[in-house]
Amino acid sequence: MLPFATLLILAQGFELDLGGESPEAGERTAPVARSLGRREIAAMRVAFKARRHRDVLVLATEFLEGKTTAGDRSEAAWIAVRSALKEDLPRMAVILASTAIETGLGESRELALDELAPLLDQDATAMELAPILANQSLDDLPERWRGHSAYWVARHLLELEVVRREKADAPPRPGAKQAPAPPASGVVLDFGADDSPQPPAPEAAKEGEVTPSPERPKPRPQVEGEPPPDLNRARSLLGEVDRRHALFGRSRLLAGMIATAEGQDDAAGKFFRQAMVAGPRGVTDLATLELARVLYAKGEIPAALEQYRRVRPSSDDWGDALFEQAWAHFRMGNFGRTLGILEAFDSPFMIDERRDEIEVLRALSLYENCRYDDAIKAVDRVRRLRPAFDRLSEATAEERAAADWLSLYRRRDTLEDEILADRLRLLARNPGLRRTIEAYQSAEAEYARLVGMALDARAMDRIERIFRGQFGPMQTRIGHRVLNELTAQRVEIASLLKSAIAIRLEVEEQRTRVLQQQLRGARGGVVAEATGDPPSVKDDELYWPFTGEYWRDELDTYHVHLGRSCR
Amino acid sequence: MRTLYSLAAAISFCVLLPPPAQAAEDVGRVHEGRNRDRLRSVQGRPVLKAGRFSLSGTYARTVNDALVIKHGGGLTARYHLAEGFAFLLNGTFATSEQTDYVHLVRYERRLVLEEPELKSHMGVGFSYTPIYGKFSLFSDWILHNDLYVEGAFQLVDIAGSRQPAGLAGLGTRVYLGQAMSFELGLRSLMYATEYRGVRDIKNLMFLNTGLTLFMPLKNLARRRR
Repeated sequence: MLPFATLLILAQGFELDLGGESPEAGERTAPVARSLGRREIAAMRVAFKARRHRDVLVLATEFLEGKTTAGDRSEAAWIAVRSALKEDLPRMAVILASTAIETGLGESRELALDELAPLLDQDATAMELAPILANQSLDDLPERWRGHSAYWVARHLLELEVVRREKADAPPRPGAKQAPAPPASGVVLDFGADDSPQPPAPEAAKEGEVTPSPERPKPRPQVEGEPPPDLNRARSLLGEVDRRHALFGRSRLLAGMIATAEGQDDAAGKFFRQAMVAGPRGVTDLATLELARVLYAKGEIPAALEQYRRVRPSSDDWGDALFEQAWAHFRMGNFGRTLGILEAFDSPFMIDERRDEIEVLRALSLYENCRYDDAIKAVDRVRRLRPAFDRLSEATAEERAAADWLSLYRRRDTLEDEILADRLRLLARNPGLRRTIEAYQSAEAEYARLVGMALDARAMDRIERIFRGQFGPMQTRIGHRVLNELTAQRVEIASLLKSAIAIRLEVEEQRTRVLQQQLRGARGGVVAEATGDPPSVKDDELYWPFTGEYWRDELDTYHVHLGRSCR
Repeated sequence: MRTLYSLAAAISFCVLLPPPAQAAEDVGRVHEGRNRDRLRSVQGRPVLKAGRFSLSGTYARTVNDALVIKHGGGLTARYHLAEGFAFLLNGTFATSEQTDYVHLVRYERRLVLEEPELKSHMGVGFSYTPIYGKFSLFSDWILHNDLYVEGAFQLVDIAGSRQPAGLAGLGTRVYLGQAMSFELGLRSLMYATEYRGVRDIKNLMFLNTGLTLFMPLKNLARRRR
């Protein structure tokens, strides 16, 4: 049963600001630190045995801020960790455990470490423990912790590397003198698609080239003045995750991502294949998609297509796999399949999978097939993105605090500014960002529950400071990430608009050539003509004519019979 | 029981209809747009039968004899030479049961009851599957089905004596995965009889329903690709 105060806060649709300094922080008198020692520890033990866990937590907050020895602080934290877990306050437990693990002392350490294991089973809490565990030796941890710890620390190290590279590649903000401050640390590495390498990115098309050439992902240059995160250590840590461990599949996936980040395609492919076998399903799908991307980047398009098709339609990654299939077919010259797949994105089932690049790819496919009128129509649809570009330019140039960006993101469904709301909704498809914000919201909810416990005012002040200290930077990171993502959208739209102009020019040029040829009475080159034959269907295939309805199971099988080709 | 039969008949009627485009959540309405006239789906068959065996266990019941109902169980083994063609080997054992309508023909009752009964029939034949379709069920599942015709040479066992017969059938299979399908069909068994000097051709119409297991349990053809 939730206390009344918690219910009241929840009912008001709370948005407790855990970021930065409290507005009243400056006005409050500084806490008077009192000396704490064995007597208070003994009191905590008594309270713990009597199951007065709230009293334990109140005393623990005093230890965190009071004058005491490192050993006593650690011991108090360990006792309080157990109380926080009993009260179902996992984030509080993480905060306390972080303090305790860092000192590495305390009589209750072994017992509490053992009880902390469930925190490593949950992504949100495990991610918060990872930076602390990164400074620990695996040998100092209980046996059952080691696999989890190895995985999460390795993941943390890769996140740092991703952040470092993002910092190097951060797009400029319009009107801003400097690029926005990138996240300092702990950005959640997306186990969806956002942070992972995207080989089929249609950069060539975006630049207006008619036939894009494959580009292999290259290791990025290191930013000067910063030591790179130790990816070798991450790799060796992943080797500690046993084949029978629950995180084995994810560890192989992570190893593949590290190999991809270092440009080692063959090793990456091997790791992704291991992850596909190890599972579970979500990991298998993502590993399959990543393998397809590696193959695509290597120019092995038919093999990549085979892997793309293996991603299950029920998977979160299916939309990406389908769109990238369209690029793969384009690369192979299967324009009918490319257009068929793009048609699927118009279906009601794919509303949430809309992509800005679709019309550019459509225009390119039609252009390649000498269907100039249709290509021009597709180009015109790309140009409809102009208002979105203008609005994003305005919005990202505004000076807002990081918390305001997060707040804007959270109010996306009620914003009157339809264009911005639409772009923020697109952002919400990013699984990495979504997960990070969910983690932040769950911290807020836990804080609301603590408020609802009606602890005394001084204890609440301390808890507020502790939560702000822990989650304030997280709020800032998320706010910056929202801004960065919107800026990236703006840059992408700019690129698409440029591509649209380039395609239009190319089409007009081709049309002029056709007219010139016709005037000369000549034929050939760029003229489209009917080819007639409908697609043949093999014995193990089924042919379904399109009768005005999309079927969910057909979305990846559509084929546009162009009936024309360039001579 | 009658309710069950009526239900089975209603289901068979619905399933045997040509597969319509079901309006359900699986199927989205389209708006006007591009390429729709040239759009088509070329989909891999979810169940590939070519090169596989199948074994169907069926329950059969006559539907065209008001006085004596014959019902029983049977097995049909098929080897699918191609996606649309299979050889079959089948056998059915049947028992007879009088209906309540027998009292209406009390003067001929003796004739009805004393006529030698069909005990079983078995034989070899073929099956041809010319039509396929799919439908959406409860907005969650899209099930594929097909329509088959079959013909077979049969030996019928009538009170211990065997004689030749012909079998023609029409049915549908609803696929429940790569390994299994639900089967429903009508089979017409025709054979010549002679009773008390009267020669006649009997036509027993059986409603068959059952499950089919495909072996191997996974599709073969995709592996060969």
